[in-house]
Amino acid sequence: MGQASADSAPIVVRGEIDAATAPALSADLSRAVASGSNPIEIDLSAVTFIDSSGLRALIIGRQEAEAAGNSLRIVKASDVVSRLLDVTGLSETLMG
Amino acid sequence: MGSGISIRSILTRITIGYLVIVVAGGASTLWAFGANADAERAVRNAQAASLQEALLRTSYSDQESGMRGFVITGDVQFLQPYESGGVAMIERAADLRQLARTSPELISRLDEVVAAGDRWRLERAEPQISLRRTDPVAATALVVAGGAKARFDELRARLDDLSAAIDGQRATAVDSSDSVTTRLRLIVAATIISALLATVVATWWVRRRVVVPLAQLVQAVGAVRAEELDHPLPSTGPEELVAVSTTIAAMRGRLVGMIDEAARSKRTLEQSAIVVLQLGAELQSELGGSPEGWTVAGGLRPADGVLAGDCYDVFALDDDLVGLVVLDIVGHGAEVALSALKSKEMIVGSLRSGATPGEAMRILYDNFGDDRTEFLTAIALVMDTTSGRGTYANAGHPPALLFDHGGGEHELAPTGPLLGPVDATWRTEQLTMELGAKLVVFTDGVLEARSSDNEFFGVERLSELVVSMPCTEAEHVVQQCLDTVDEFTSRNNADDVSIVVICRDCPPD
Repeated sequence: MGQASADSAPIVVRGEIDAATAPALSADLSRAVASGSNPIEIDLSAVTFIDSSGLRALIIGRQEAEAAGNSLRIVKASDVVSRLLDVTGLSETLMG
Repeated sequence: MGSGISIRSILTRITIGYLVIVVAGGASTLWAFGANADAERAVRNAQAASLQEALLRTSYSDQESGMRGFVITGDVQFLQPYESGGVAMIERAADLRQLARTSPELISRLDEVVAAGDRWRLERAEPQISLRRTDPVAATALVVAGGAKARFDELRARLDDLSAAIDGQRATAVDSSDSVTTRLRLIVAATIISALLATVVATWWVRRRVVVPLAQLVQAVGAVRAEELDHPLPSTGPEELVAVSTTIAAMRGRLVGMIDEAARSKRTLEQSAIVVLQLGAELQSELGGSPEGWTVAGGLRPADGVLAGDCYDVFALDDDLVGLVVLDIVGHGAEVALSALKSKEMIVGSLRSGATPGEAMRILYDNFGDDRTEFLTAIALVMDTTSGRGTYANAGHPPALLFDHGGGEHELAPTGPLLGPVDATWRTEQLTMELGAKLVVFTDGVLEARSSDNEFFGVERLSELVVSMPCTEAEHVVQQCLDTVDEFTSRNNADDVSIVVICRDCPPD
C-alpha cells in the first residue's frame, strides 16, 4: 500500500492492499472510527491490487464504524477494486 | 509472596538514614566549632586579664616607691610616680573590670585589691606624705619603723589572690579548648564511621532485597526464553520485582496455553487431514473408481510455510450424483484451516441431506454465529453424471470456468455475496456439461499468483492452458495447471492455490 491518510475525509489509499499492507489500512480505519469521523469515506481509485486481506480490512472497518454508530463507504474505486467487489457481492454493501 | 517492601521504600529508608547521619554529624560539628571558639575567646580574655593584673600591680608599686622616696628624701620629684601610679591604677582597674565582667570571682578579687589599695593609700600613704611635709624626722622614723608596709603587704596579698584567680581561669579555658578540640575530632570520626557502617548496611540490604531477587528473576526469564517453561519464577523480593515476576508468570501461562492450543490444533488438523484423505478414498470407492465417462481430480498447494485456508472436496451423493465443494477462507494457519474444514463439512453435510447448493450456503451462513469478522468464498456444485446437468451456487468466489468441447467458455458467476459479513440468500443456478466439457474450479490464489516481474497469472493464462489440454484426464489437467503456476511464481506462492477439474469424456469421433 502506497499511502493512507486518516487525517481527513476521504481517506485516500494508493498502491496495493494485500496481507502485508492490510494491517496498516485496518489501523487507519480504526483511528478514523475512534476520532468520530462520520461518514468515513474511502477513496480507492489509486489502488492497483487488492486481495481478500484488503477486503477483510474494509469489512471489519465498516463493522467497527457501524458499532460506533457511524457509517463507512467507498466513494471511489479502481477497476481492480470494483471487480473484486462485484465478484464478492459487496459492491452495494461497501459503495451503496 | 513478596517481602512487603518496595524498592522505593528501601531507597527512601536508605536516604533517610544518610540524612540522619549527615544532619547529626553536621549539627554536632557546628556545636563543637562554636564551643571551641568560646573556649579560645576565654583563653584570650584570661591572657589579657593577666596582663592588666601585672600593670595594676606595677601601678601600685610605683605609688609605694614614690611615697617612700618622698618621705625619706623630701624630694617632691618622688611624688610624680606616686601620682601617675594612682591614675594608672584607676585605668588598669577599669580595664580589668571590663575583662572580668563575666566572672564574679574575678570581680570580687578585683574589688578586694582596690579596697586594700584604698586602705593603704588613705590610711598610710597620704598621712605619711602629709607628716613629711610638717615633721620630716617623725615621718622618716615612721618609714624606717615600717608603718605602711603591713598595709602594702596586704595589698600585695590581694594582688596575688587576683593573679591566682586569673591564672586559674586561664587554665580552665585552656582545658576547655583542648576538650572541645578532642570532641570535635571524635564527632568527625564518629560521622565518618557511621557513614561507612551505613554504606555497608545499605549495600548488604540492597543486595539481599533487590540484587539477589533481580538476579533470580533474570535467570528465570532467561530460562523461559530458553523454553524451560517449568522453571520456577521467584516470588520473593521487593514489590516491583514480585509484580514483574507475576506478570512474566502470567505471560508464560498464556504462552504455555498457546503452545498447548497450537499442539491441539496441529493434532486436530492432522486428524482432519487424515479425514480428507479418507474422504478422497471414499469418493473412489463410492464412485467405483469414477463414473463412466467422467474423470475428477483436485490439487492444493498451500502458500509458503503456512497451513492453507483453501479447502475442496468431491464426493458421491448417490449412484449418479457427484458433489463438489471448493472454498477459500481469508487467512492461513491452523485455526483458519480448521475453520475451512468445518465450513466445508457443513456444506457437504447439507448437500448430503438434500439441500440445494444455494440452501447449503445459507445453512453455513446461519451457523457462523455472532462472529462476522471471518468470511469465506465458496462454490458448491451437484452434478448428475448421467445427464450431465447440474446445479451450483457461488458465494463471492472467483467464477469457475466451463469449457465445452468446441472451446466455448462460460463462467459460473457468483449467485450471492461471500459468506460471513452480509445477510443474504444464494441462488442455485443450472449448468450442463456436454460430452468433452471441462469444468475448472479454482481459488483466487491461481489468478493472483505473481511472477518475479510482478505479473499476475490471471484468468486468461489459466483458460488457455486448460483449453490446450485434452479432456480425457482431469488429473493431468490439474497437475499441469499447478506446475505451471509454480513455475510462473518460481515456487514462491504468496497465497494458497487450489484447482479442481471435472472432465467429461470427449464424444466418439
